Amino acid sequence: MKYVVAMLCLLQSSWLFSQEYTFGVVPQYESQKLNAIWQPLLKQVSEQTGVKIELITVKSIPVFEQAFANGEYDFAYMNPWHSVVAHEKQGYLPLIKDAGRSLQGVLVVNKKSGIDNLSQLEGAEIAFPAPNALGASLLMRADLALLYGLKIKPVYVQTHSSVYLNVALNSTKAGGGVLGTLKQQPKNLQQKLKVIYKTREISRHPIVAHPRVASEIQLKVQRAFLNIGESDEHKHLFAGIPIIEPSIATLAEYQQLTEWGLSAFYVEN
Amino acid sequence: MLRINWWRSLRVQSFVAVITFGFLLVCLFIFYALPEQARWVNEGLSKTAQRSLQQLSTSVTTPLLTRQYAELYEQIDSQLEIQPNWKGIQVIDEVTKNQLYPLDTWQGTIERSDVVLSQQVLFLDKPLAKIILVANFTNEINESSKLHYTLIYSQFTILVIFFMALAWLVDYRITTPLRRLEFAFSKLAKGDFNCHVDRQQKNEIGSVINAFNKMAIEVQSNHQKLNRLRIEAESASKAKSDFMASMSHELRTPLNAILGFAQLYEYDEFANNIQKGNAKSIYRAGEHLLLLINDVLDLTAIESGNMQFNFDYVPIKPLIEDSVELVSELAKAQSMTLYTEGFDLLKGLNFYIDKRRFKQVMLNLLSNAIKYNKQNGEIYISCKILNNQQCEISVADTGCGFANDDISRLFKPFDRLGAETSKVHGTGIGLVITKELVERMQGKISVQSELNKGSCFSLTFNTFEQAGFSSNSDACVIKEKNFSANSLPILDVLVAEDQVTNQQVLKQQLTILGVRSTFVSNGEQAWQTLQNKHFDVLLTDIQMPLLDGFELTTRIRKDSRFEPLIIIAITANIVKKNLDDCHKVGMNGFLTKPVELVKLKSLLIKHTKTVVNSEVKTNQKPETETHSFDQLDLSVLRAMLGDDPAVHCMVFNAFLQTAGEQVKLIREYASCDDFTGIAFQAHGLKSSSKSVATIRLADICQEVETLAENKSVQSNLIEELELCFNAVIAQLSRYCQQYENK
Repeated sequence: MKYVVAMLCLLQSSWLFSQEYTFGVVPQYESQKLNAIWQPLLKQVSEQTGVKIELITVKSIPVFEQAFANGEYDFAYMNPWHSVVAHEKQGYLPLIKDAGRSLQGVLVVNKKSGIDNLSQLEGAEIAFPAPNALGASLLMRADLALLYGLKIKPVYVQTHSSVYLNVALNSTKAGGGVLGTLKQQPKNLQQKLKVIYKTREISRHPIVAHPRVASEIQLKVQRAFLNIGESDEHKHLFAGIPIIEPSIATLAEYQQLTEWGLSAFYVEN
Repeated sequence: MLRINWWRSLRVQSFVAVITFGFLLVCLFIFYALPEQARWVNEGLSKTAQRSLQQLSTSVTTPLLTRQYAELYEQIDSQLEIQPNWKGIQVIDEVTKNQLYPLDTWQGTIERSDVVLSQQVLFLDKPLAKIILVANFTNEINESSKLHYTLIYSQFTILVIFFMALAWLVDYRITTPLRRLEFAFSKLAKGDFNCHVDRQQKNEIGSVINAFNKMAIEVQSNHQKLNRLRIEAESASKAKSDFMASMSHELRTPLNAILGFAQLYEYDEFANNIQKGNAKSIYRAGEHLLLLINDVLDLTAIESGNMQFNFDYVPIKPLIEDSVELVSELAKAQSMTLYTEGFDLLKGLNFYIDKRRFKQVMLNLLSNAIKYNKQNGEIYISCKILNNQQCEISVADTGCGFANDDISRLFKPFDRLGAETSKVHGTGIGLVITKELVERMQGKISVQSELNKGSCFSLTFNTFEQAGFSSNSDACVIKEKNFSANSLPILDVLVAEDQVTNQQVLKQQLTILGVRSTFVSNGEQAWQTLQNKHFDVLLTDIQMPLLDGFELTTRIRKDSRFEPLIIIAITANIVKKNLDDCHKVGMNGFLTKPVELVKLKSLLIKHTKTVVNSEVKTNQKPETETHSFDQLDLSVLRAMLGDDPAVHCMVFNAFLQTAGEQVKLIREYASCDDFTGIAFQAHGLKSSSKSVATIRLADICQEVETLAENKSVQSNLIEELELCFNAVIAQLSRYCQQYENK
């Protein structure tokens, strides 16, 4: 019996290791680019862990949201707010975060507008990329509404660049973005803008795991990511994502988003 | 040859046509084709740009509606990147009038060639925004111009090659044959019948050349025919002259008897008055007949070229006064008045003439003036000095005169302008002889007349004032008497003369005069000889090879060693300029060819103050000999060489040995139109023939030389020269033979 159990255990563990896991990635870019970024990293993880991981990319964020809400991914890389939602819906847990960077929304106005106080934006049109964009939109709207009690008319213009252009072209009085994308704008655009408000900081996109994945596998994968981040030889594999310094993520870090009342501003598809 | 103005030349005209055509083509290209093409390209590109702009406006509608300006920027930026000729795009919001693109200040148009296009962005017929495009198509236009240029260049090159080929064809097919034809025409005009032109083409030009060749052959045969006829006519005329000469001569002998016997009646005591009157009539008629015969003799002498002249510098005043004196009795008898005018102007002036012949001319004119005058008419004889060293002597009468149209008939033999039926006696050959004599003495005769008012005959002669040259013979005669023939220092004379015959003559003459002579053939040799030996006198020809007489004299006169050397020119050219030049270069005197012994002697005496030792006999033999040696002027010969036939024959032999070669050379030069050669040889032959006293040959040579200098020697003159030369050769040989037989 002991042998049988041992055998079964062995069998199970071999089944356990021979099983293929899925890895969903939020569609920040088109799938080709996502493949180019993620495939080498996941291959390295598989090599180190012996766990087979398959990269799954989707066309749009709603599809991605639907997918993780249905628990289709064993592992996934998503934005902090998605991780909160995913935890609520399927119990996804954060494994890895980027300790090198944090997420903070910024509110920009036209330099020539004469606005330097949030109160001047009462009832004004403010451009945001999308309703659920975390730093630029969710955090910002929550802050403005909950911390400052401002009533605004949000205008969703798809991209961060459009947000900044709307502000620069005086199409809207202000716009919500994040520091990273603001810095990426052309010099002449940046020169026309000024930041008048920054939101509270939160950790950046985490890699999460579905609770159905065996915890030793989760640990192994987590360990592998950390190892790769520390190894000089493989560190560069994170650069494209981008994750500067992978570290262990905790649920609590992301749970504060719920506490900040962001769900009220989340728009379900 | 007719010179063609350069702008009339076919070559130039075709060249100008090609250049003009090319210029017009270039103008058309620059001022029309290129701008038109640029406009066309601009329009086409603008249309295309407008279409692209329309597409752009459609694609930016959504971003504009949704304010997705990033996408708007992306679309426009990508368009600007794709369209290299789009310089800038401006998007203006139609509602707010805000500039949506570009972010920076709008530059608008910058260059003059910028094109502005605009397009409205409509959504549901509501204007959303306006897109303004600034484009510049200069690059495209330049590119297409470059293409066009290449095309035009190649077309132009092809055209130029085509036209050059055309010009060459014109040149080869038309101009060149025409020039060949022109050359052949000029050859034909000069009497060269060897002017056949090869006919290379079977077209119109070819047929013209063919026609020319036929014409040349025709002209040649006609010319030959004419020549034959001329020679026949000439020989007939000569036969006539010969006949007349001998007839006249034969007539004079019985006439002498008639006149003599008629005169005897005057002294016959037994003859009654009637018989004496009849005899007087016979005498007068005989005298008239003698006059006529003398005239006919002169005329025949002129026609056969045997008229002989003894030229000398003659003081003209006494000569004319003499002539007037002679006719004054006659004029008085006819109750006419003679008026003279300007005779004093003639004082000290000389004519270079034959004294006897000039007197004959004057008497003829004066007697005509009396004969054809009215009763109690007047005769004016006036002298004028013209500007150019010439003197005019005119004889005017108040007779019936004649019409201007008759002047040409005046100098025709036996034409008396209707006076044949009048009671005035005459032969109608007096004026012919007068004119001939005047012209042979280098003078001119002219006539003016008005019907029923009278006529005026004028003579024009060159005048000479040389006291040094005049009356040489007189001086000689006087001095000859003063010196004794035995007290003579011997003179050393150097003679520079290129003609062997002339050398012979001078050698004989100087030997006769007892002078030591050395002979050289040109000026250069003379100069060399002078360096080594002392000479008292240099006799030099003017025209010589290497160094001529003038140059030689100039060279000698520059050298003080030769100061005492007497230089005397020997020349056949009795032109005043020539004589002046002799003085100018420092010659002491000159002799004319043929050199007369007397003159040579007197010149030597005059300049060297010494005497030559021989008496020279210049008495002439009766002229009966002349007709057997009609080419030879025996009086001149004797004046040159004395009477010794042995001396004559030595000179003749020298002439016979050298002259044939000269005639041959003249003929050869004439055949190849080498006029310089002809002139040189003719001058030499002229000089030689003067030395053997063959004056007619010398005259012909003179004519050939003059014509050759003007480059217009005719072949018939050369033939005449040869004929005359052959006659001279025959006579000289005969003369020598006769002497040897004696």
